Amino acid sequence: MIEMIGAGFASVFGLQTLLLIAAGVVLGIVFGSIPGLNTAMAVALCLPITYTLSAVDGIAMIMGLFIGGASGGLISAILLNIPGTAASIATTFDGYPMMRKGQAGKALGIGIVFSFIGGFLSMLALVFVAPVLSDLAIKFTPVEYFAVAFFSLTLMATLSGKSMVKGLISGFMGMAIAMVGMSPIDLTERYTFGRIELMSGFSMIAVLTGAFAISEVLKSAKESMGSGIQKEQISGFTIKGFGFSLKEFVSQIGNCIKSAVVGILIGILPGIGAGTANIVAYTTVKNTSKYPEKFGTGIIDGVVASETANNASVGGALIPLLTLGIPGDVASALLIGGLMIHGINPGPMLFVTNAPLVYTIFAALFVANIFMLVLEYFGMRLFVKVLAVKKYALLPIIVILCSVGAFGSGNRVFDCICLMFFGIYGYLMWCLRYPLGPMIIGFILGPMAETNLRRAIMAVDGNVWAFFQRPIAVFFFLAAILSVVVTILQNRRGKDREKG
Amino acid sequence: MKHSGIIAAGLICLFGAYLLVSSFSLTSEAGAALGPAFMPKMLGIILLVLGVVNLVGEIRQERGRRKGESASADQTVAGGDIVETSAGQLKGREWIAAHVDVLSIPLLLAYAYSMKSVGFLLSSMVYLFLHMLLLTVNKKRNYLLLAVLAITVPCVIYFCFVKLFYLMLPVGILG
Repeated sequence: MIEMIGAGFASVFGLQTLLLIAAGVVLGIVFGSIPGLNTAMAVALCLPITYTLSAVDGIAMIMGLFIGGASGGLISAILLNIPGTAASIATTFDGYPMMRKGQAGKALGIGIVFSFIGGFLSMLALVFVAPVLSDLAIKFTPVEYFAVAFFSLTLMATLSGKSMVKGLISGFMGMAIAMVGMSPIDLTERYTFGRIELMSGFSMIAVLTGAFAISEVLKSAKESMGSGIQKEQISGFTIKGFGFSLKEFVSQIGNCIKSAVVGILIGILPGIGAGTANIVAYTTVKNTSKYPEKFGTGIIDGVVASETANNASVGGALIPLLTLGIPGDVASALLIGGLMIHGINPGPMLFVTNAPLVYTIFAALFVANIFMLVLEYFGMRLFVKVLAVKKYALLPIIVILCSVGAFGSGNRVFDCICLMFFGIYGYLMWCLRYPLGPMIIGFILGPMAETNLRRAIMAVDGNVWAFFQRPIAVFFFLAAILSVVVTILQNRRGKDREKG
Repeated sequence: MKHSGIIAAGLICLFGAYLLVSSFSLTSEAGAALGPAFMPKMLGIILLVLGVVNLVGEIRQERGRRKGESASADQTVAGGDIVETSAGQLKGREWIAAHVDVLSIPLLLAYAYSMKSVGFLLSSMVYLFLHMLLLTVNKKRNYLLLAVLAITVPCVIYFCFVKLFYLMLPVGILG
């Protein structure tokens, strides 16, 4: 095996291959950091280019895009409170408060380093435990998928903040928004009001970018009318190394390992990717923390959790992709396309028929991860310059870029209109103090829960008790109950502390 | 806005009720175990219940606030007068600056709705210029700079996406 890994690295260490990986990482970071654009788009745009390259070069470049795209989102999440992609939503929870405290450099440094570590740990998992984990994933039936979705939905409560009722309303509204379109299994039209555009439901990019980016533009527009806080922060921006101490690093190792495990496990499960992994890891770290009440005020633990998990899910998603040929999300589905262009068919036989290329993929991922660390480290001073751009120009430009992203996701102006409406919706929710985090969980996982619940009920002939005879499903149901109980207890404790 | 919390909670109750009532008209001929109406029904009930709980909470809060206000109003009548006159003086540019969020909304919608007919390039230029004007309402403006930005930025974005990434953007009347 070690020989194979060595051969994989040898094939990547050509000048052209290394340059292509670097180009992939840079493009991935750009697409990841601009709200509305994401990794899947970057991969889709580069697939035609990889066709003209050799198999090794093409795959190497796509791996660069993957790694860059997964970590680029942290830049806009921390600096502008706008997650570049769904993978860095939870990064805004503590990253932006850190920026407001004047710790932009520290937040970026932590985000970058723990992205690297998350990616690195998931690669180790990919190399050493891929076969075992893929055996487990293949045992997942709709019952288990429903159990996972059900457990993840209970996290809406954890993300609710001060008012549990408002958080739950926000989450269930997200599920309701996701219901528009064709129902799963029997394809009945729901809430389409006879409009063809609504039959495929709302585009995920329009909803997420609208709720997080456009609403933030409205928020910042209002704030920019008052006295700005930005100027002093930029002039005071100096950074040594990555901006944090060794002691702080050591204190985060536990959080990092927890988040990496969450990221890898979620990445492995097809259908849920980095978009869910970062939020689940954030809530896990918050729930197991000694000071859950400090989360959201700008502590490094939150950034560590989110950024470790989203990069860890990249390696995780590659496990079922390479071993079973099952893509975890849109970006990895496109990656399968990229592999097939070069005559590689992902699946159980891949390790037998194309073993050298598999190890080339591992090596390319590893190199891309290092490039990401280096490029983002040196780019950090450049990224912070975005804060120097006058708000009056920056905000409308963000709107235009979001519109390009929304339009590009489905080639419809209708998605741009939805983008604006969800922006207004998100802004109203913010004004009325309804948290947005739960809405995203509801929107992403609602359809997954419904589809798998209906499939599962059909599979067990309506006998719901059969759900509780499956150990993996029971485990997740118990985890769901535990999550709710822990959240309620923490809320009570928090309230008692406020009173006391 | 006054009573905004109560109005929002009321709207959520109505939305829940709508989901519940409308779910009865959702039928499928496929005859699957849980039909397409199952989820809307569940969500309708849940949102209705949560909405009512929220409504009760908001009304209680409002009452508490009013009691607090009436108790303190006797002591600080003069202070209240000052706030009112200063609010009344918000005119012209100040009023626009105070409502910049609300005024941005029609701009965003007009931009999205005009994109198909006018095209990405032109609609972005007009939108960018107008929104920058709005956001600089209480600042000294450099009209030339705003105009140059409004023309160059959409052109650069258009060029990058259409020529480099082969992404089609609506051309509208220019096409």
